[in-house]
Amino acid sequence: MESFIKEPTIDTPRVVLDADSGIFEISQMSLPEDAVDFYAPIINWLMEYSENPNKETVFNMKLEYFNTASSKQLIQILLLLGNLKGKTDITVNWYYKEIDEDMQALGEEYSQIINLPFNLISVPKQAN
Amino acid sequence: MEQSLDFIYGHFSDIEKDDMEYIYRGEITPVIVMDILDFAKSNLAKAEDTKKLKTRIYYIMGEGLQNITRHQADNVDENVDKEAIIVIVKKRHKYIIATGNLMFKAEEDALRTKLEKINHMDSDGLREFSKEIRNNMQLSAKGGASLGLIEMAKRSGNKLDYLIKSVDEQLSYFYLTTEIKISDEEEPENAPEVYSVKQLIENHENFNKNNYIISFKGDFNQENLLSLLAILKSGMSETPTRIKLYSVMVELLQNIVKHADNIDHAEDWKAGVFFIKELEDSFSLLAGNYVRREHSASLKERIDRLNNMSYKDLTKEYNKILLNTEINDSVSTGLGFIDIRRKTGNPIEYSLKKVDDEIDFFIVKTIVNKKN
Repeated sequence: MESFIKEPTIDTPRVVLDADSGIFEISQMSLPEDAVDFYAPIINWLMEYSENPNKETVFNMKLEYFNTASSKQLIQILLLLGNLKGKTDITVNWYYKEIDEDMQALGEEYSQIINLPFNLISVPKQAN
Repeated sequence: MEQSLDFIYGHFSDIEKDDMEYIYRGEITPVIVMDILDFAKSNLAKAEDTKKLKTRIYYIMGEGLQNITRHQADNVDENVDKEAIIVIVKKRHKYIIATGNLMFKAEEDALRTKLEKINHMDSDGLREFSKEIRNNMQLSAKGGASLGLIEMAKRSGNKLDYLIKSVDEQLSYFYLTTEIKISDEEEPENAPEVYSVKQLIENHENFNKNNYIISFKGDFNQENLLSLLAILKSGMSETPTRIKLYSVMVELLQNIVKHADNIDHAEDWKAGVFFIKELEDSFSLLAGNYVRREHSASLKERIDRLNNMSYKDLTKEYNKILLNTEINDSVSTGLGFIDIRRKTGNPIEYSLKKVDDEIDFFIVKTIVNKKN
């Protein structure tokens, strides 16, 4: 399956969806003007992937920030991953900065909504 | 209703299409200067000005802002409001770049002499003067300061309007405005001055008194929203407070970009106003925009409802909307205010002011408490 790679901009995340190398990752910032439009191809890719997934799928959510419009799309992605249970050995890693209690709280909430192996991973503040 | 909310509308109501006003009050660092220039650029890009004009405006702004970093007095008494002010205004056919900063009284005479000399020169004289200084390059530690002022006068084609106001025995505020005309169109008769030194001083005093640190009024779009966020990021180190401020700011400003109605029904103009106020233990963010009367009641009802909810109920409501696949609208999710309530833990203050029979002005205020 062809990989999906999108380089980041100031208001959209870096996205790597690569079944061959087994890398599934969304990172950096997500506050696009039109979140539905931005996430549509990502959701489509994952729908196609779910027809014939790898044996194991580790999805890394490494967003530093996302706005509420993006959250609606991210939950769609998480729900899609939830549907993969049974077809692939799926894990979600939710990264948040140690000082970002809101990102941590969102991860905890989403982990309760989505019935999946869900790791909350705290990233220590980088020394300047 | 808190006085500041009314002040917001008063500050806003005189705006016309394509006008804008940006004010920054705080420490001026080279990074902040670059961010403000980027912000100005994102607004210039929208205006229908020629590239040549944009370059000129950008250049004059750069000189004006850098001028502060060269001149500002530091290490001053705690009791003095030492924060500088930067104002960028576009109104009718003019741009104004205005700055105010503390300086040492000891340097006052030299500065005054220099400014008077510049203001009495025509464009040929300025060119000569500039050449002379370049040739003699015996620049002071304040490096190239006079050159900056000469270039501003030369390129704007206008006098440098200034005022030096005494603060105490040692210090004064130096206020400077430069006007750049962007079209040959005549000003309407008896038109008030676009932005005077007097207004600059009033704004500075008002910002000092009310602890405002940033304000913007004009057209809100994704591009200038991102530049405003960049200024916030550069001005503060990354703390839990800044993380919260950032996210509340995004929701408030994207609300304006997506939902602002317009008084003259112009679709392509999302007029709004935004302020950040910094107090000892909190920040306040204020945002205002027009809404059509038919939306006012439901807006009021929604905020009142959210204000009466506990964190637990807010989370329930948030999840309900999050998982409702029928709402998949790029314009509105209905999550913004819930998110703000949850992240700040504070009620959302608001005011709806009648503008005319069809339009209200909606002002919202959210408080972000500072954390250690």
